[in-house]
Amino acid sequence: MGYLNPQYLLFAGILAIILIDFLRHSAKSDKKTFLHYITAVILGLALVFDVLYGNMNISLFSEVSYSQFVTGFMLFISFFVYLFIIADKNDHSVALDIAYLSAVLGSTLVVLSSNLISLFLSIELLSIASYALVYMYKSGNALEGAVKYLSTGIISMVILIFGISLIYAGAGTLSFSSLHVISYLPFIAGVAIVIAGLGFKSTLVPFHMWAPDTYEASKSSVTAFISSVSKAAGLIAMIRIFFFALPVSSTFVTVLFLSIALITIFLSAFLASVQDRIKRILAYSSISQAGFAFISIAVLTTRGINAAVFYIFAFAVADAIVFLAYDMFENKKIIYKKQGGSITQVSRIGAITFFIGILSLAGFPPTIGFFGKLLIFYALFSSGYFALVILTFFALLVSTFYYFNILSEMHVVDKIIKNKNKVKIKTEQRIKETILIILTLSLFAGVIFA
Amino acid sequence: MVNLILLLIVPALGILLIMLRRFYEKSISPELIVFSVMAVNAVLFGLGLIFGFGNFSVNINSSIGFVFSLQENFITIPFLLLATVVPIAILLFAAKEIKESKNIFYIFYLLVYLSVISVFVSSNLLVFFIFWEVAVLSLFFITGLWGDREKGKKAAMKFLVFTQFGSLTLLAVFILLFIYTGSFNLSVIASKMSLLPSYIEYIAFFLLLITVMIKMPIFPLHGWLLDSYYYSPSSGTMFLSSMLSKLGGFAFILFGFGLFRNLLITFRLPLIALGVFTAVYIAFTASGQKDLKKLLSYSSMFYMALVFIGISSGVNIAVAGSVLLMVSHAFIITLLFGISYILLQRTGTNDTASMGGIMSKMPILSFFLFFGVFASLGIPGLSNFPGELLIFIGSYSVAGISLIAIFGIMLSTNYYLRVIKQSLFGQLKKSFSSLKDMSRIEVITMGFLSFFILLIGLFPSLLINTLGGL
Amino acid sequence: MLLSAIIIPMLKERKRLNWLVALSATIVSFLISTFFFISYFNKSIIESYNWFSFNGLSFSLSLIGNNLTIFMALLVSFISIMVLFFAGAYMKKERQARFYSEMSFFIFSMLGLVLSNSLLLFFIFWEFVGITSYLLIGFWYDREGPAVSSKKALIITRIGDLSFLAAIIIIFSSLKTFSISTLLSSIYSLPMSVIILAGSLFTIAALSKAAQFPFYTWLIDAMEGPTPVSSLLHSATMVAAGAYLLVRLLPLISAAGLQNLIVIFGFITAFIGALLGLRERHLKKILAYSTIESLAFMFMAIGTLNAGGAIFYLFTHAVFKSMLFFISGALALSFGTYDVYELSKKKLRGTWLTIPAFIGFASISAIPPFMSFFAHSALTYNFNIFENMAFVIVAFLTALFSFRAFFVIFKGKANKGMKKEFNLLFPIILLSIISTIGGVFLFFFNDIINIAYSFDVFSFIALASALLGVLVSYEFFYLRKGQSFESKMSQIGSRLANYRYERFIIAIGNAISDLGFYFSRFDYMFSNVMSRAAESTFILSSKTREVENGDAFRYITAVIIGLTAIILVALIFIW
Repeated sequence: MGYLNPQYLLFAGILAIILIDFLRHSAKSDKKTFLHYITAVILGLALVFDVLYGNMNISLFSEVSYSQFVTGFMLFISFFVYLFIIADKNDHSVALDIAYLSAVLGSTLVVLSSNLISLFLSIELLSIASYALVYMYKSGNALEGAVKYLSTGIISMVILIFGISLIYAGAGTLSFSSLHVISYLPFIAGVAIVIAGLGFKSTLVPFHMWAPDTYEASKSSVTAFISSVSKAAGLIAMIRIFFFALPVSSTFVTVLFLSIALITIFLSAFLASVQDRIKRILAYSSISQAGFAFISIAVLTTRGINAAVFYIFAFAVADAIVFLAYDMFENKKIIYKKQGGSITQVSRIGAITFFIGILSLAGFPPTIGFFGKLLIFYALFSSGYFALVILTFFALLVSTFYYFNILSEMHVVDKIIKNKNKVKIKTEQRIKETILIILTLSLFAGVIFA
Repeated sequence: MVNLILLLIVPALGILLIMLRRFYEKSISPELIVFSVMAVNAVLFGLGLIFGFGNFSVNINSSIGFVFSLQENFITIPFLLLATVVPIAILLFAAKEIKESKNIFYIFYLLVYLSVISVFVSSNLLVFFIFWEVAVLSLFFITGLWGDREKGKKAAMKFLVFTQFGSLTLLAVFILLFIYTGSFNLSVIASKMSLLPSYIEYIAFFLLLITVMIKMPIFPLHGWLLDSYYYSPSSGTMFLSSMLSKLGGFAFILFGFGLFRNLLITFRLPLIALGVFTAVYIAFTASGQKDLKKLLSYSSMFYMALVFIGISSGVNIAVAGSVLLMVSHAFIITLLFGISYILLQRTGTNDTASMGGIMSKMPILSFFLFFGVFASLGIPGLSNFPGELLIFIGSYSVAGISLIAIFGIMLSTNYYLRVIKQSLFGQLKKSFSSLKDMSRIEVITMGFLSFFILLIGLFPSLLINTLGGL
Repeated sequence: MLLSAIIIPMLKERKRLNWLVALSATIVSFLISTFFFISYFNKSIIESYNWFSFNGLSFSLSLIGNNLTIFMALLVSFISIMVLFFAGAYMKKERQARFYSEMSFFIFSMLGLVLSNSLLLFFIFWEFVGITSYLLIGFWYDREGPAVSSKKALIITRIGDLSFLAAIIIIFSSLKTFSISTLLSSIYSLPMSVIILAGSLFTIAALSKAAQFPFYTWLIDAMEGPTPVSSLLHSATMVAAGAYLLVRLLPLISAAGLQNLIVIFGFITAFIGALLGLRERHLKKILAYSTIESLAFMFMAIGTLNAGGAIFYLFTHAVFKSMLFFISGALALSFGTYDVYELSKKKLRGTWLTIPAFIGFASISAIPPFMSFFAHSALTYNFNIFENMAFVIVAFLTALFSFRAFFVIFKGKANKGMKKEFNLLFPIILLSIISTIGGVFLFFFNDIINIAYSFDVFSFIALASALLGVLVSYEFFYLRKGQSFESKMSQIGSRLANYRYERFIIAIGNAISDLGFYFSRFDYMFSNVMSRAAESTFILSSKTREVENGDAFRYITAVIIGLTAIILVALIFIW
């Protein structure tokens, strides 16, 4: 039974798909949809396996308390995002399946890595697959986005591996279990550089700059994946290194983390409030969400980590919903806030879920976005950061402002209300709407995991 | 026994019915659904008064103490009266004013209704907070979508950002309480308040004050008031003034007086001084208003300042007076905003100076305006008087300066009488020669409100006797 | 039991027989008062009702029936009956339902006021009286005058109302009860500050209600209301409530040491009333000034701790002043004007009104054998020599201005009679009879309200000066001698009238409104400060946006800067 875990399944799935595709090419068959269904089944099964049997546990990868949950929600989101992607009547190439499965596999492995090198490799797997995903849909400036993503990604990887090597030089080991903090200059520098490297993946200021461009350039359903699962992986990696491997509770780390987190929260909030393009606002909001998760990591207590994990879940689901819903609008060329006029002619349910997703991102009860923030404040208060919480309140106010500004400028609610003409809805859209509804329901039901 | 959850289920069912209205669009209007929902709830409330209320509790997530539990507390009954009765009157104005997308409007309407009731009966702080926010959000949408076409959205945004700050500080208070008592349950917290270190208590108390001062609102934090009251649709304004501001008072009593009583008593002097200052300042500000709706908005804040004085004195009797004043003020301000709306509709203006002599055309409306104004002015026999009396008696016994607020009542006499003089008295303007008086349904609604104003005024003991637990 | 006497007028009437209902209700209450008067003579009963109680503090409303209160109830209901008779004639063409329901409510509140034993109940009725008088003054709401003056009246009396409220709050918080009898019996256990504060607040309340200096202006304007209203509210009952309040609380006032102040205010008011009355052309306003003056007399009596004198003068004044108002109303009904010089052209001497009018004006001037002469002697009982001297001057002025009105109006000899109507005739005749022979009551009432009186030398000096006043008045205004003096007098009067006290008050009102305007401007700006602050941050952030313009090189620069910063921080911490 030890082999019935999602990671093996995903890996086997990737191999199987490559194989079947090869066979298909040999048989000169044109039925690619079949492969998409297999991929979907694999993702679904992986989710089931995760719930039933947990994750794999071998030398370089080991389970931790929350890994089942994290892998679970990653798979959950990935599954539905994937369904959403293939619900489009596009001519998806098989590379989508492979890249997507690899990306998912990479992110779940990040959760489990118990060694710096396996962590690095997992991230690399995720990143490379993501570049492909971004470039795959050649819409407008996808190329530019992909290139930016690629170039900054590669730089970040280089930085990361440089940091890891410095740590190795200091500690002589890369295994989390045997790593310990030593007061050796290159080691400390290595730690700092690792922060920077992971900062790219989890879009922390000042390593966030690729994010808005890339998010905007790629197809929104892909963005949904990148901004939720992939970013979650980056943040979880932070947790793994700085909470489990290097429990450095020195002032240095705290000050550094907190200042990065605060800068991230504030800068992104202000930048989001002056954007015109919806997707850029959502991108900045996603950055600010990462900042919130990171501020909770920064307190480096169990409570903080729990809060961070739950918050990552909360914003990942909400981000996925928002970007997926926006995908439906984007197809109808709704790009600027002021153009929101016809969103419900695209989909009424899309608009409603978009609305609820935004509420969750803004942290309004009874969505899990609220409970996530609740836990974060709880963690911060428990560690005595009173002033910090009050500071974040102001950032939250700004974010409340721009979230509701989107809603009002796009006339989301007005349009939901005033939608009179019955648009004929295609099956494709039905499927998409169902996916959105399921994800949205999880925004309410997710509170049981808190 | 009437289980409290019933009071929540009925409006929830109403919301569901309205959502499903597309299947029976022609037969029943949403107003009818809303009305029957509120009527059933009022009956349930009445039954509950007779047979007692049952508690309700469902555990949702025990690790964060999220238990959906409803329970009466020491000030629930008067507030429930307010929350179940006043919206019935507001419905009329909603029905008159809202012509577009009624379904969604009434969903929001019932959401406000539901969440205000829930806030009053919830004994878990998370449940409290959730419904507190739902009320804010619903009113944000009511103001933004059905309010003034040009400025409604901006006003709504201002309202949201302001009150959101208050909500966040309230949340911070709840979290602090949770950290040190390990529970979100109100009664558990109350029994474990001694576990709080004193500096935490100070922090929590001041955060609570910010919340209350935004919500009620009190002087430096009242910036949202005018815009959102003014640009809201009249039903929204009524909700804001009769329900939402009372939430602030409710929270202040429940937490400030219930939990942080020692601190409240320590800081009573500066707080009362602040309340007095607000009262006088706002009375002056209101005197400078030419528009009836703006004037009423400010005057509403004036009474909340009196409530603030009463509660922050920390004396039982003044707190009881504050409860009484809040309940009575909800009825009165609804009546007055209703009249201002009817006037706006009939005369096309809310500027009192451009009206004149309409008493001869609208004697019934004038009667109710007189009634409302006298009730606001605290004429004995009408509902504001016992509340004001108790507040002043209670707060005077601890701080003499509270009597200065009486000067504010003087000023409000001045501006209210100016309104009456300008609008009702004098020669009838020619342009108003075809004014029609209130319709029957309006008279019934106003009479309904007036009945309660009179009832509370004549028999305040009905409400006061329920406040024995203070 | 007592409640029944006052609840009946509450039964509002919307039928055709409004007048009859109101009248009969009042008569019933009069009869009941008489019954109580007879059966409870020299006894004291207290009816108490617990309005609400909280935390052991009970807010009870109680009525007291003793000689004083029931006497007052009798007086109020009697005058009310008269006024209602008169109103039956005067208000024929008006909207009766509203008028009579407000009148009944007013009578109800006035009766309640005189009977109440709890300060709370006293205040409640006090407020009712104020509000109904507002409504009644503004009865002709479609005219500009009543609209303004009703507002003015309520605002000024409201000052008193609110200081009353403040006073009872102060008293309650130290005594824990509202009962007047408890208050009076435990005065000396109260701290001095409470006594002084409450006493002066009560005095302000009384001064404003009784239209004394510095609050007198509202009463003059209140004459815009219908004449029955003026006669009931502003002569006999409502203004008397102020004096009555002080009479009830006399021990408190004296304990607070306010009596001299009250006397001084009384004299100031009396002088102002008499001087201003001298130049007034409007008959009702002349009467209003005389009312102010008469009330000032009562305040003088109160200030000299002579409660009986005050109450007796109150009674006397109520009788003759309501009669005078009826007369003015009757004149106005016939001739449609209140202007004395206009009336003078109508040649009225010899009509049936002449004798009652003479009785009335003579009563104002306290000429024997009319009742007010005796009232004056009771009034001045406690006066010291300075007060007496001042009173003599006042008496002269009073006679002068009141007979001026009389002589001016009834100058020409009538050639045709006035119309007579039972409703007019009956109250006027009855009241004039009472004020003529009422002097005997002085001896009779001694059992009821403890009047002390003496006919000392000063009362005769005062009488002499009053007679002198009448003479001068006759010379100047009837025989038209010394026109220059008359014009000089009226010049002085108008100068006095223009001494801008009125304007001062109006200026205060305007200043408050202006201030309100500035406050609202300020508040508007203040409210927008936060929005402005928010907007400026957005401007700032739109500047930052330019940094992120999609240029990859710039991104890498930022990354390098960030990285360096992090490493630097790390290094700093190591060292």
